[in-house]
Amino acid sequence: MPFLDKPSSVAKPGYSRWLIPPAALAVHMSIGQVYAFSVFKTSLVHRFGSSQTAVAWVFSLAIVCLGLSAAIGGRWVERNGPRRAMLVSAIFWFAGFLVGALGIATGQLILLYLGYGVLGGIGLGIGYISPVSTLIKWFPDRPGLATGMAIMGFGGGALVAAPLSNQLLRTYDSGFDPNAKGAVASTHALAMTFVTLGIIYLIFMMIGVALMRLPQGYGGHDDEVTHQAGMSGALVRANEAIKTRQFYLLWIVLFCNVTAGIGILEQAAPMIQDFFRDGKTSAVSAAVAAGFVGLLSVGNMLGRFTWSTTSDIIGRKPMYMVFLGVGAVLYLLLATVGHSATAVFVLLALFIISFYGGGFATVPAYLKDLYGTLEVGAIHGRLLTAWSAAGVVGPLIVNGYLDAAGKPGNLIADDYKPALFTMVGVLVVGFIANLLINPVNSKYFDPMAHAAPEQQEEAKLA
Amino acid sequence: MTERNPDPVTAPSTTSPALIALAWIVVAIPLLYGLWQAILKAAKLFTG
Repeated sequence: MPFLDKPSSVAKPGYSRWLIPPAALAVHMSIGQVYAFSVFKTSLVHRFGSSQTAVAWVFSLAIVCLGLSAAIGGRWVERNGPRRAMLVSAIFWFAGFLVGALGIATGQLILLYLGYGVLGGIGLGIGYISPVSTLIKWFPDRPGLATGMAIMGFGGGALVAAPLSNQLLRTYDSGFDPNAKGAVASTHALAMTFVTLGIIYLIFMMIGVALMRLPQGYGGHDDEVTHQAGMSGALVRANEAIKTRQFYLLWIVLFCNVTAGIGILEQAAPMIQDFFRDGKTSAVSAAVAAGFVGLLSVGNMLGRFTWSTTSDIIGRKPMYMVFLGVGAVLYLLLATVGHSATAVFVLLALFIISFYGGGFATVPAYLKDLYGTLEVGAIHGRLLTAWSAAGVVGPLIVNGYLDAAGKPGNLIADDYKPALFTMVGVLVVGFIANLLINPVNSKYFDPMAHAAPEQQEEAKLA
Repeated sequence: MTERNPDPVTAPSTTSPALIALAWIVVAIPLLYGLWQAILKAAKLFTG
């Protein structure tokens, strides 16, 4: 399909750059569904007669495949341009739902792993990175704002998918009440919901493919176009970037920020109840705890846009000093005075979770500052392995401490202190790693890549 | 020989404002729906 090639994807003169964020949002909102996978959990456990853990592996597999496909496929995305990458992502995401639906219909859990977990996970990884580098190229003046809008869509996608999925399950199974405790949807409803979601997301992502364009001048081979340089004129390829100290420092920064955020997200509902427990009863009801989880979702989504946009004003390094430094202080306060009042607990958790989202959304602009736009999408893809690693380590830390204390939902505030103090330590490590980040040595710059002449002059003066 | 890029920040737009508005509406409607549903859920935090 030649119309998907990079040269054919270049915008005609006069094409508005304000069509690019909705194109990116269409993709990120679709793949953001993965964070709402838990709405199917009870029904899937019932359908397959399996353990909670066996079904939870579907989600874990999808996140691992996200990290791997983003890391491996990043350079392919850069070479082939955003439209082809977005189409491939849409096909994988759609196929993941279809194969998953087949697994549900036939009772084969392995097909759900292969479909939603592996195929869907590949769609997630390619889709996540595909619009990022293009957005930065269209918004060189405000890269944080541009990537913040798209990555906010990933957080927002879960907010849309959860009620939409419940509505679809109810449409296909009139006896299903998502608000009833332990409610289970029929096999037919589950399979049909997967198929319907697949079709909806395929259409939505195609809108993104149709709208997405490269800015003028970016249609040729890398060596033939002018790129936007990073600090000190940096234009670095992905294979060189992973040889730099800065890449691993930023990997640690992202890993620490995500690990700390997951510490709250993983146990949000039982945590707020345990913090305000007196004897066997909690002052916080299950409905209020569910409201707290809803509020965190909003904070996570808005933090992505707000803090990423703020980084355009204050700079990327100071922004991460806030995420990690202020974040560590907030975690400390949560551990020590969080149990004093519900409002204090909620406010502290809300800021912590907004920093978690902000860390995701600001990192592409940080990479652009360090390495330039030459292969920023591919470098971003490789950095996302930090997300996959944190997705495993974060819950391990929290669950490790809590399992030793008892069962979440029956604990008290003091039982959370070891986990929360560990998160303070994790954030301090990230804070130090961020402090150590400096401009990349010019020996890693690509000798064949060109920056705009005025940028080269600025780099010489810097 | 390198190709000089026009500046996407200052390049004049000839795209119809209606198309831009439509594109934003298509993504904003589901996003606002999701946000509204989450706010309704979060409201229980204050109303019990």
